[in-house]
Amino acid sequence: MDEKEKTPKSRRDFLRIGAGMGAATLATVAASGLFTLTGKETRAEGGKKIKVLTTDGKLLEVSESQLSEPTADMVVTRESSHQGITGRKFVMVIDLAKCKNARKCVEACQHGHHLPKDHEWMKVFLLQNSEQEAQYWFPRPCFHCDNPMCVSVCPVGATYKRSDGIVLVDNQRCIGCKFCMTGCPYSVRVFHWKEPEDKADGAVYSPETGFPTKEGTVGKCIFCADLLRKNELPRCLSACPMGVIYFGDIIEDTITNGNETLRFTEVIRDRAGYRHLESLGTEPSVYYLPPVNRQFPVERGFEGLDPKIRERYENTASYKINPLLRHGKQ
Amino acid sequence: MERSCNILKRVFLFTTLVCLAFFFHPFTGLSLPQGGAPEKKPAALALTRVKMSNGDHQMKVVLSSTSENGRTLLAGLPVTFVGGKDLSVKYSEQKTNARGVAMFTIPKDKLPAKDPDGTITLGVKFDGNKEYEPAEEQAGVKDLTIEVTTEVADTVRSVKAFAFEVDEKGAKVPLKATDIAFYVPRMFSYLKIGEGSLDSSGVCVVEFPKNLPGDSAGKVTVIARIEDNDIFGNVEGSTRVDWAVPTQHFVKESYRALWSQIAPTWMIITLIILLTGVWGHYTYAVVKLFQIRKEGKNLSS
Amino acid sequence: MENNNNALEKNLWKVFLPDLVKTSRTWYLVFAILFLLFLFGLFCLYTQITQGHIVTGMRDNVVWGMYIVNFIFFMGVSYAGALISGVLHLFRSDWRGSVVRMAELITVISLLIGPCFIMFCIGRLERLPFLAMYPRIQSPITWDVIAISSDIIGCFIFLYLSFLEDFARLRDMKQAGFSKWRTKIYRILALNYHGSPEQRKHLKWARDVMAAMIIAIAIIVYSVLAWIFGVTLQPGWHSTIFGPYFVIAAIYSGTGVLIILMWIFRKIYHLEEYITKRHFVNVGVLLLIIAAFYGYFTFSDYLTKWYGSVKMDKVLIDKLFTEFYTMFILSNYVGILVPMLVVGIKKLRTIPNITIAAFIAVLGLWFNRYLIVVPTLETPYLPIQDIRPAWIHYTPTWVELGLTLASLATFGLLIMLAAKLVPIVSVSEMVEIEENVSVEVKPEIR
Repeated sequence: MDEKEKTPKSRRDFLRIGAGMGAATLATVAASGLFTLTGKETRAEGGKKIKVLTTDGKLLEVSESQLSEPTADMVVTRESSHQGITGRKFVMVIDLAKCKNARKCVEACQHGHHLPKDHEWMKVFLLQNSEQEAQYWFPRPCFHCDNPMCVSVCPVGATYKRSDGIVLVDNQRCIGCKFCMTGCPYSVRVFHWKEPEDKADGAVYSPETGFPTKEGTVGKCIFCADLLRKNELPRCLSACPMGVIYFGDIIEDTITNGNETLRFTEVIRDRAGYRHLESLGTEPSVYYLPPVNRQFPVERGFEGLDPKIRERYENTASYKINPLLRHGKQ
Repeated sequence: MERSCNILKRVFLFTTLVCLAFFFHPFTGLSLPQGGAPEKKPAALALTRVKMSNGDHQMKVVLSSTSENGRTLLAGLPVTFVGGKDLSVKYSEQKTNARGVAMFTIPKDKLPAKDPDGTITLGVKFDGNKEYEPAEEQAGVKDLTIEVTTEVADTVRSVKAFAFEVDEKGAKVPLKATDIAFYVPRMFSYLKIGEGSLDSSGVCVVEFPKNLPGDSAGKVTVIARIEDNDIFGNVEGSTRVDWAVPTQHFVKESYRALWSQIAPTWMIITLIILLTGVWGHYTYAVVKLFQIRKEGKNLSS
Repeated sequence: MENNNNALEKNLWKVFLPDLVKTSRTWYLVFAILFLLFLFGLFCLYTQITQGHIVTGMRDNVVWGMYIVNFIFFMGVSYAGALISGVLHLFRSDWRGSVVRMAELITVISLLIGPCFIMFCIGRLERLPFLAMYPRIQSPITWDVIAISSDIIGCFIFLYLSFLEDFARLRDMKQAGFSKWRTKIYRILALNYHGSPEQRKHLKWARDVMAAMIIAIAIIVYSVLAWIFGVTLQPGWHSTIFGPYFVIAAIYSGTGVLIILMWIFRKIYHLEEYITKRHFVNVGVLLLIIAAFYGYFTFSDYLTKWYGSVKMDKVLIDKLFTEFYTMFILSNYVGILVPMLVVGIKKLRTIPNITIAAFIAVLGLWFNRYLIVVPTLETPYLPIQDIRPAWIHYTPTWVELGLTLASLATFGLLIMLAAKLVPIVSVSEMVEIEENVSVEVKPEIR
């Protein structure tokens, strides 16, 4: 009932970049060195291909899933990942007027966190609140709620909320009961249904990177907590060609999408920012700006979409009750 | 199993490379005809240079290669930061990161000598490798200083920037009619708080915004910045003011928060009552069983 | 023992003793078949552990499938068994003798099987001890772990108390020809019980206390189980009625299973004399009353959701009446009304009819559990999009079906083994009731 993608392990393995603390790992890094990532993809039968430059100057084409970004020098341990970044409280603002389902955020997230296929932390929904209302694309990261249901229901404390507002999952503690998944009203959390292909020997696990992933545990968007430690912006934001996503510290009252930097309160006030499903009382840390004065017609989101991705919106038509899906078919 | 596979693959890869190296080596006589060797691709360096308020020069470079397939960011390759008119002063070699970026800051006392016309030249070099051609980029700017001061008139608090060059005699020569912007540095970027143009005396004044959050003492750094100027490049000047709103970060933890580490008191009490109730009765039943056994022993003896 | 001469007891032993001593070929055959199913279950579990949960039909939206349905179902069956035996014991019903043993066995055995489904459902089985090592009191799962473990232990104590007198009788049965090890087991388990007035008093107290405790903890456990669903914000689950609703549903399924087992054992052991139509009608009436309550709760729960028609509730109920229509009718109409009619109309009140009605009730209840778990998970607040189409709808795979089948087989296996160790009808209880009745009746005759 579900097609299994079997990636040949052989090709993947020699390009693995281990990153971590152990001496053996460091040796691996030294031996295999760093390589380049290219922004341009070429397509081949085996799925998406990416060009990679090895240290000895060879340019190789590998499929995207085989590629691991050299994970950074420092890895925050499981214990210290419970401590939020001092004095920060993060907030994300998503401008629905600019989103055209370019899906760069999804790709950057998948790639940056080494996530297996069908295990997306970032999703883009095509929403319509009622039949007469407009459709709009709705990128959905984790909302990092201030009253997180998922954290409340966890029986072993594998998921926790930090002082900077970020909700993390410790996959070495998670028992895989999936209660948090039913607890989350935004369907944010995803499960590792099978052994991840990217095993990344040697990489030191940290809840702030969520990597290496583990079969039978839960994963979700972590606001790129590892990058935040280095004062860098989340991957989805940097990847977005339209500047849809803004991120910042609510205490500094500042958000940025990488190009423009704005006052959070002013943006929310002037553009009538809101939180999705406010009535549930979960108090999300993600705000949305309504899709007004849009830069693209909503149909643009289907242009140039991989048929496999397109299918993800079309085949939901059996979900009859929700009229937007019927429209989405056009 | 997996590991041994890995090793095998590495060995295989290595052998292949050695064989290839041997094959293409000029002395083996097996070299392919001229056109066979892959053509080197062009590499490009994009350099951004900023004169910081303390006088240091920050250099940021992006190494990339552009072909018909698009732009490729080159990671993990060494670039050299250099300076001087003929780029003869070598500062540092840095490797580009995953996004092809390398950064280096040159302290003000290590800057190369000025050209006769007052230009300070800094640059960056990429030596190239088998795949990519070498590249070089330089930026020569004249030295400009921005002084940032504050002034309070009535209740209006203002920030004043004064931009000037220093001539040979050491006199300050104001810069006129140039755009300048004021920022407050934030975690990820600069937040713009005002902008304007330098007047005939090289001065620009902007009002400091109300309700701008600062640190816990209400302090905040204000940076005045001239950007992408043809003669001076990027120049910054800064000062620190305590006019911002003091902020405090505390975790808003409701008395009924269920996500915190410790459960609400009522829950713990209820649980203890229930557990003692139930297990107390269990103990009673088990004690009764022991009494039955004791009784039985007495009966049979 | 003093009462050894009792005619009733002699008759009872005549029925049960042969089966305790000798084992028939049919028994072995049935046992072998069930054991094969059990082994198949082990194979399914092995597949799931080695290949990951990808072999199940569960995916990111429907994260709880058949395993959780079975878990709630078996837990329901178990608590109801406890409730029936506890209530009947406390009220000293004179007809309880022949049914309480079965009810208690159902309780303990399904209590052993139910939690296994939690183990099948969780992603990392080896981390199960974390539940005890790093417990968070706030999580309903922690409540559940505490409540279920208390319940299992309590039910074992209760079962043992009710076995004690029979163990003593079996120990004293020199003429039966038990093997040596078996006599030894009986001797150890009987705890020197000789039925002295003092010992009887201790036992009576212990049993009364435990009967009351079993009822209390059964209600707690099943409510806690309901709250796992109730505390979430999901449409269809977020309901204040879920606690009592689940308790009633649990008693309903337990009573149903009890009737089915009564019928089976009556056939196997030829217990027509001891399990009479009166027993079926009495338990049947219990089923009817509970069916009425259960139907009332079901109606009340869906009515409020349907009438208010909050957007997500509406979506869910529309889905129940379209995609899940057959199942909905079967569980919430047929499964409630048929048992009520069969027991309620005197003409229909025959032993086979009551058994069939009980079977329908149990089946309907299983589907009711399915309807609570799956459709809600297929109706999240954010529509299911941007997901592989094959992952949208839940269908159980052979692994899940295999484990379900294996668990039913294990239920049978354990009942069979238990019936080898002790008589399936409590001899001591029957005798005691007989004595009490004759004592009470005698004065009236005078």
